[in-house]
Amino acid sequence: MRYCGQILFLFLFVCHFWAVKAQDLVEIYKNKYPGHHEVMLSNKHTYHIRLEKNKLKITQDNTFESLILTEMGRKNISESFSFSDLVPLKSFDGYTMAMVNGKERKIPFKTFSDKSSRESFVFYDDVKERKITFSNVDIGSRKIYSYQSEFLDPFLLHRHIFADYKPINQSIFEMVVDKNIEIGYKVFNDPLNRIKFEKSERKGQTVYSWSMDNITPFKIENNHPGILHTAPHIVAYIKKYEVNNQSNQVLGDIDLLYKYYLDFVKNLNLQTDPNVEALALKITENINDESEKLKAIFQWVQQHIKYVAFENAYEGFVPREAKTVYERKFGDCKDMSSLITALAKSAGIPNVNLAWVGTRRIPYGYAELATPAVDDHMIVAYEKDGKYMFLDATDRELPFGLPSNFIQGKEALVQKGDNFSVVKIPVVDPKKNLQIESVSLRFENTKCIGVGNAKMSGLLRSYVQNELGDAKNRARQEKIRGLLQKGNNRFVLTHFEENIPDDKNQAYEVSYAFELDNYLVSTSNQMFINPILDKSLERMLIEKGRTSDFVLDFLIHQDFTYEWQMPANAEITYIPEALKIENDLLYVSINYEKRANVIHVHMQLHVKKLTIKASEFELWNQSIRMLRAAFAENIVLKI
Amino acid sequence: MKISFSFAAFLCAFVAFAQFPFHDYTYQEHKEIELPLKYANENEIVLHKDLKIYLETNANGAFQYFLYHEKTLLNSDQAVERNNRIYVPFREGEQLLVNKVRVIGKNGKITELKKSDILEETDEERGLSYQYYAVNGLEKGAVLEKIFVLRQTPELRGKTVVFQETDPIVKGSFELIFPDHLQFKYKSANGLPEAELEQNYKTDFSKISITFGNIDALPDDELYSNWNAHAQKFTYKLQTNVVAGLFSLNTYNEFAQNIYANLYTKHDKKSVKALDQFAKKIKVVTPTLNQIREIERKVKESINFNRYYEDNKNLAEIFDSKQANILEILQVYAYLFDKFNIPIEFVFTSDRAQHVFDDDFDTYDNLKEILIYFPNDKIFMEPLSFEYRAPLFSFTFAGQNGLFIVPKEFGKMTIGVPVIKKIEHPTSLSPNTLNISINLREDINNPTVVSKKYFGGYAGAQLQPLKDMVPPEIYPELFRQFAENYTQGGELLKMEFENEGTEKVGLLPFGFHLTYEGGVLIQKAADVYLLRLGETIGQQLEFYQDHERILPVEIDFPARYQRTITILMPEGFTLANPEDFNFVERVFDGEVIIAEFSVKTRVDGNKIIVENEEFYSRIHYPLSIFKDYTRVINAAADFNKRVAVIKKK
Repeated sequence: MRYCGQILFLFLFVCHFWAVKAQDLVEIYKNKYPGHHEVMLSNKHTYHIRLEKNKLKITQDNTFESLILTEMGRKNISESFSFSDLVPLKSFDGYTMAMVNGKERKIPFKTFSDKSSRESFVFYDDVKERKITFSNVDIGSRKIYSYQSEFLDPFLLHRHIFADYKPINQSIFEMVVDKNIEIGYKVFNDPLNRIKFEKSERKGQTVYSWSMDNITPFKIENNHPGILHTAPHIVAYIKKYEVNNQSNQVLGDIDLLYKYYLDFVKNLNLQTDPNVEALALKITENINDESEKLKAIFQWVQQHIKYVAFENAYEGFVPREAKTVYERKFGDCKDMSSLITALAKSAGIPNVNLAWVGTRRIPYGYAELATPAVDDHMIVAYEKDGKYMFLDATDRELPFGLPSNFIQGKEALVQKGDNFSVVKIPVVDPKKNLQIESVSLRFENTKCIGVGNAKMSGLLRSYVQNELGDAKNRARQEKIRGLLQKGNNRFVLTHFEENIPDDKNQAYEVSYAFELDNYLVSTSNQMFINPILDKSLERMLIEKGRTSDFVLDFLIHQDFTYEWQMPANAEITYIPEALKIENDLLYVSINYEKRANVIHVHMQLHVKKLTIKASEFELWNQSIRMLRAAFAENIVLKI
Repeated sequence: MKISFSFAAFLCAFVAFAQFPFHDYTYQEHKEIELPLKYANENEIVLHKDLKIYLETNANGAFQYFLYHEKTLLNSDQAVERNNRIYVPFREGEQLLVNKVRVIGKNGKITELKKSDILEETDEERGLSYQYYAVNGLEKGAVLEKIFVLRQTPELRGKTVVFQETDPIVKGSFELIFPDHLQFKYKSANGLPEAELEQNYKTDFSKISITFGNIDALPDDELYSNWNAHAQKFTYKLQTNVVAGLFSLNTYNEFAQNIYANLYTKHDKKSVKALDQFAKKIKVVTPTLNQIREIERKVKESINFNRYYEDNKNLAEIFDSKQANILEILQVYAYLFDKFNIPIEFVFTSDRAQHVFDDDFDTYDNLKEILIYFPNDKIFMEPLSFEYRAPLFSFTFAGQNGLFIVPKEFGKMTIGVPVIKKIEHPTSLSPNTLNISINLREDINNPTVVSKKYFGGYAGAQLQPLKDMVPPEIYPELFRQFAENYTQGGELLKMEFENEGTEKVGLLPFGFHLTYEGGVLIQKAADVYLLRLGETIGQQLEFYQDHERILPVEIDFPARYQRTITILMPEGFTLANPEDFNFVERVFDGEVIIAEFSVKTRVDGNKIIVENEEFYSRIHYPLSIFKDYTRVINAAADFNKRVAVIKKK
């Protein structure tokens, strides 16, 4: 009896201890991460890389534990993770540690369900998302789950990012490898060395371990360069492994990466398809110049092949045969590149090759990290007289010869048979992306009546045409109105006429007439005209405390002329002063000239860099303030 | 034995499906259709659209075969891109029997869908599967032809089929074929031709059919409009089963009695105990509105609504799984409000943005959304929405009728009685207010602007829950971008919030207060200062561009805005254009003002005070008063551009 009493006491003590502990934990983490409803206590990914039957065997153990802090946090009853054909799921488990009748109990997860998980631009891939739904989720409960995946391709290990949209108390990334396996790794975005690294031995294996504590949620600012540019993370890869005293290289330099990629394309379009050949001849008929032939091919693919991406397993790496793409009339970046190169070959155009490229969201260069993590896109590179041209048919409106905006400034890995070249893709000069507008205005009672002409070329043309799409009638008029809006949204388009040349290297042009009512400000004896009607960059001050680089999609050179016809009876008493800004970031020139009764205003403006670094924010803001002051100037008339 | 039975079942199923009603339905020979001139230039033209439903009954119940056949001419590259990926969804228990697609090229070349191109995917949680594929050979100028046949559970209690599209339809048809012991009630709306009944159109079967031609596109991009309310459509429901002797099926009476019995069912002891324990955790407060909100908060924060969740064996299990489906959630509320002696009526209605409650047709199609009505306080609560709190609920449920299930005692029994009544918007909530002060005395070139804005009612309800949903590190960043609508890019000195969080929804207005450098609002003109005063209220919607209006105006909810701007004037300066800040625009319904925008300005010592009132008391504005309505809307947009001329006296 006494014994039973002791057990009961011990039982009650343990229950009390756990109850207090759970509550304490909640208080500790609520103070540590105020305003959060849940904290991820630990997030651990461990690769186990070993040799089995002389082959690499790679598994990854993943464990997560989170603590519910508030009543709102109780709503978070589900967690998800992904798997795919190349990274199959081997096992998983999940449970809640929750107080039940004063005692902490392990309660298995309630249900799970799978669904496809893919990015919006992908039509089909094999990635599945498994959603586990937990039971008894309450304040102080811990959701715990784990899963094991296998990595079938040793070239395609996943990066580990030390960030999430929840706070993370501790994030750990480990690689446990056999001694005859050598790994490489690269740490990104950790200037304060917050990631702790340890190398040790465990049961005859080498353990590489990286950990980071107290991670606040990831913050996305506007015009952000992307999570990989700012979040601390590691990309690890297998360099080589030894079998029977023979070294087998995997990754580590560009040669090895290229060798891996070459396997995906070496058998592509070996046979010339008669239909593809006939098409090539038809498209390039009567064209003598090699570049013009390629331009015709590129524009044909842009127009006729629609973007549909299949990303399942190696379909994400292997381009389809040109014949298939031509027949289907759809494909992804690789497929379009396959067709362009095949058509070029049939048309007798040399040096038209496939090229791998990482879009701007990926911050790595090939020399820095030669793994498949560097790129996520394929284009065509055309080399002529030692100069390269990059063709990306995924943008239906892209002018021939310009790279798409999302690969500007990146490196391309260009196929050259068994060899390759790494070539820098240029940032498109703003003078190639022109917006040229001239507007004449006169007054009629309270209205400004204007006629104008706008020409848009380069990447701006592409952007505008993609936005306008096939909108017709009223919808088109509203889109054009938005595109041309002058002064303010009182701008009413009374007429417009577009000229959209089939040749995307020629400017898109729109002539228009408009009315702008109540734009003028007047008193009984004065009129005020704010003469610059397009105030680019006016709202682009960079906020204090911003941490990430400020990025633009592309650079435009704007050239605006406004001819203000003054009322006959008015005396011009004030004309604003000219402005010139020329620094590392911005070029602005604004000039005023009075000719007879017309005031001519000429403004030229362009930004010089795609990325404004934190160290340049002050100069940028200073320039924007100067520009704003110029935009705020008025012509004054005495009436 | 088991194997033989399964094989037999398979064989039966196979035989049944092999002879399903549309098994031999296929493409017709493609012929060029002469397009009506008015459609010739459209991006997409539906050449024909035919829908057929074949209803069958047997000992196992009723099921239907649904045939969908559409042929569309694609006249632009973008039209090709919008149509070259086809998804055919079907629910658990349904079979997709036919999935045929072909492309007829401009040159007449026909490319048919290959079975090997079809992908299939299942969303296990929602019990929804898709067959999907990219269409081979589709180019501008081609015709895309699709035929699907699905075997599914029939929707006999009320189904609306919308025929009109955002693209024109050259011709089309609808057929509902059913055993002739059944009778349907049906109705065409918004100009769709009336249906014709053909009894005994074949042995033992009758048919209701519609044929139509040249249905114009109905644009869905008009601001403040309700596309679904005006699209041509057909609604039907089963009314009579002669064989069963049932002559008044699927009525609101039947619905009310059934739903009431389900919601107030007798629970097992374990469930009652769990419900009582849960009820004990709910604070007892007064007045009734606070008690309602407390019960609502407790349920919504403790139980996740999951429409597809079927794993609770009884109500007690909800409190462990923390998940409940519609019926379970409603049963919990029914029990709790009863426990707290708060009378309620369940209300069933529709989301008027999807389907307007049809007062003249008692179909269950009108009853897809649910509210709880508190007759003593005359307020509503939305039981299935986490973000809304009483007295606020989804605004698209209001402004139309609903079916109120009113409990009536008959002896010892209580049953639900259906009553159709108007669901009013909760209009007694605090309006939106904006108080702005601009201090030109300190620095006329860069005045400090203090903007105190309160978003009341629905406007606040869109913003208040963000506090609970967005991490605190990201929350201010969201609002910093939102603030730019008021600051016009002026540098933000301070941003403060009041009454944040879901708990404050419907109770107190959300306060959003900004202090910013107003230099961006000042323009220079020699020695005159031009203050872009109107921009401080933020950009307003506008109808400046004159387009022919097709749909009448329907707004989300009645709204009121009161704004006061105080300018602290520097010594020796005056406002030179006060007349620009005194004007009014109104919309009348007879003598009653139903929308207004007015501005008055007065001088008070060294202050100039601009007072503005704007309201829209109705949600519907017919086409006949559209011009008046745009004048009020544009008055607000005009005010946004008004500039105060500040010059020396």
